[in-house]
Amino acid sequence: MSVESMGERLPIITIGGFLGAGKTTLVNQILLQADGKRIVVFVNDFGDINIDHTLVETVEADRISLQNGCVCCSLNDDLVGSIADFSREKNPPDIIVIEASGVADPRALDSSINALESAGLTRLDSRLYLLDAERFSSLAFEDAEQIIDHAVASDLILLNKSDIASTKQIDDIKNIFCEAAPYTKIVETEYSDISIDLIIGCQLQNKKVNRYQTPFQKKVDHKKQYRHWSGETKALIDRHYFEQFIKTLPDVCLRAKGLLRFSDAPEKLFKFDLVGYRATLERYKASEEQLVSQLVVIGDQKNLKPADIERGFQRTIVA
Amino acid sequence: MVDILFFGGTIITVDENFNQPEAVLVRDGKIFQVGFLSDLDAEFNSTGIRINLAGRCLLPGFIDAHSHPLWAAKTRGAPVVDVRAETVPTYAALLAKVKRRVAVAKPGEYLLFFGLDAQLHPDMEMPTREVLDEIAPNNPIGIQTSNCHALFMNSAGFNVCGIDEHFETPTGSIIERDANGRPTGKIEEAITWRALETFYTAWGDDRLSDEFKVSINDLIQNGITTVTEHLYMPFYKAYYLSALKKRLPLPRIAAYQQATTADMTVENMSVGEDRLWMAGVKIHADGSPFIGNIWLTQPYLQSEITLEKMHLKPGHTGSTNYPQEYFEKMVYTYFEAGWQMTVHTQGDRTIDMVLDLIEELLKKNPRRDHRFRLEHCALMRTDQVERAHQLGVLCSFFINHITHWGAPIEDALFGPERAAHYMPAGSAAKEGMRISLHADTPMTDPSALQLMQAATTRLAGDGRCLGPEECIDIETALRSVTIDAAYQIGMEEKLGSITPGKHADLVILDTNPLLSAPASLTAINVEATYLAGEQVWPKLNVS
Repeated sequence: MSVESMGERLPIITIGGFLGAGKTTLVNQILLQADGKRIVVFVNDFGDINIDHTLVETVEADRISLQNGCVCCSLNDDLVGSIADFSREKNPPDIIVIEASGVADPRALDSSINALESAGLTRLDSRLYLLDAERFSSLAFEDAEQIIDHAVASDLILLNKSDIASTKQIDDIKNIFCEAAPYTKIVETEYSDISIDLIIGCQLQNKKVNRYQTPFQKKVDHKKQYRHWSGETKALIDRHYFEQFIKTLPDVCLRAKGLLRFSDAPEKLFKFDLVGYRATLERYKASEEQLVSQLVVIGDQKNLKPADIERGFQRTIVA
Repeated sequence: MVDILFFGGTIITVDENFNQPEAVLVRDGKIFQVGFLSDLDAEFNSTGIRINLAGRCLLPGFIDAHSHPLWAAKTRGAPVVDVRAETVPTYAALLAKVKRRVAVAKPGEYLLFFGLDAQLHPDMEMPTREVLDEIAPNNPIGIQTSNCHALFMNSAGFNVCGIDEHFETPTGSIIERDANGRPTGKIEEAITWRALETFYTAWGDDRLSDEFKVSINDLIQNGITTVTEHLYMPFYKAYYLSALKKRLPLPRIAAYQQATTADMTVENMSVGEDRLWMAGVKIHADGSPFIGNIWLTQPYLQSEITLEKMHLKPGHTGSTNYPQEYFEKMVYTYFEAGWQMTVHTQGDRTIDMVLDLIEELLKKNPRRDHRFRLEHCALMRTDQVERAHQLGVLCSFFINHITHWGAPIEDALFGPERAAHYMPAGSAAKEGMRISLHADTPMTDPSALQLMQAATTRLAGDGRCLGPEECIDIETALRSVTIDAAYQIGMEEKLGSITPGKHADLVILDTNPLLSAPASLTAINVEATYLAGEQVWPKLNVS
């Protein structure tokens, strides 16, 4: 899907999962790793969120503001209105995170998210689903099926508590989801401990062209169990080859993000996002002139082969 | 005398002028007065309840003009397993789910799955009798298509339903058979619904009562206070009476009894004060665009979906359910008996046939206020809309086809020209017809706001707009789920607007839909529902 939009829309991340799957821990992880980003989280019950009181700036009835600019809000009926207000702030947040209720279908958020999206305010960045790997095998048929149905509607399944689940339990779950959720990727996690890069994608920097740069530069970054690959070029990208290239990505990576200039419209900058199997490409207006095309890809150690990706990306570059 | 006084918000009466008064006074389950707060306050009995809307919006309760509430409980309620594409994305995932269910089944347990979809399950194949026998040798198993019109069964399923090589196919139904007449797995139309009853019966009455409760709550939580039961069969009545006796918040039910022969007795019933009544007779003229059994002037597109998933032959133009004479005799019989007729029509050639028949009927037996209804109207042409309106025929559009199946309708079934006028609600409204919209639950979930959004945006799931000129405005959409739907079921004097003397069926929304963007209508929350002046949802008081 390609849409024309001026300026960047506010990315939304949703977190689903059954009670006890580790959603609150994940929210804490995200807030801990904010690292200068302004994150707003909507949670059902912020009594559960562990916020270091020295970091708290103000506490109101339905919102806690932190000194680092992050805000924790209680999930209310007027989610659309609240998010719209945030998106229109002078300094809007970098990311909105919504933690969906522990038993409700995460798809219940769809109409709110669609309304915001059709108003051009937000962009659905990723839908995460947390699954308790250890408990799953002991669930009754109906409960297990409900979890499967909900997880299917996500981009990434975080197979949590993988440290205490047996290898067989993990393999069984992977086998089930391999068939049940063909458009969803699975990531193993412990204590919902996951690199924020994977959840919100890598930060892309606006860069001015350095005349002395080689046309194509790369760097490989090893970080925990995830592997990053990034590349950039000031040459233009062939749209057709790029579309073919990104079709190969879901099998080898978990996320990818890019800012691109295509040879068929060199005056326009496009933002590319891939999470699991869902990709979006939309017009992007950079705050500064951005002439380099950049791509960042994140995956696990096993499947992400930087050399392959580099080769693939090279092919999309117009000589 | 129980009074409720509503004030302090926007009140949209949906009466002739769309008046927005200051306050509404409800007395003994009816709208008593509408007007200035000071006047109504003077009349208000102080033992009553005052409800400050606090900026929210009060409207007449919604009416879904074509639904199947009891049948929804049967078809979708547990233990039926939901395998619709929105839940189970591929055919491989569907079969995996079936296998997981079979693995925990008791021997002989009846198993049903709802939602197989040739348009939305991209790798769909036919779950034939052989395939299902292999998966479930010891259990009767049925997989129903999401359009409700077809069912696949294994041998145990055919056995319990008593359908074998000697079984005669009833007129209006299809049983696919091999050269020896042995059913190969797929059945279509009325025989489908008959076979399914065998499964529902095996699960017992307690199950149905429990699931009916769920189905009722779905309607009430969405602010729907009146629905039709569009395939009513006489044995349904006991379940409605039982729900009323248990004081469940059963919406008002306009029943349309299903006719498959011309010699049926139509049950002339009327229960309570407009709680359940026989509104007319329903007949299927054709079937579903998603399985190919509708009658068209122009053939289906030739695509992977039509040729390989639906197994249609190139140039397929379909047919009607019944031989024409047989069908005409049915319509003639019940029309002559004075009933309102609602006829299921999807293909344009079917609609030509039905309009010809209506014209002839009216020539022979002129009836001023017949309100003959055409249901769904997928491929109705704009010239047919005009003709229908001149004949006094009313259309009820199954607009959710666009949101749920919009992309395959355009790309795989009918092409851009027919897609642009698919479910031509805009043309009908421009013609001046009083239209209604429906969700046809269990086929899609009940929500008047969703219907309004679908009809005002015509946006398919992938974001494309199918025929912007067929969009209607929000005010027309609101009429089509309130007063105009009331008109279509012959109850415009009693339902569908906030007008003194009418039933106090009301809904409170957190946002005024007339001020909402069309694409944001489904983000509006239904905060409370009143049926005959009683708050039935949520259970707690909103004031």
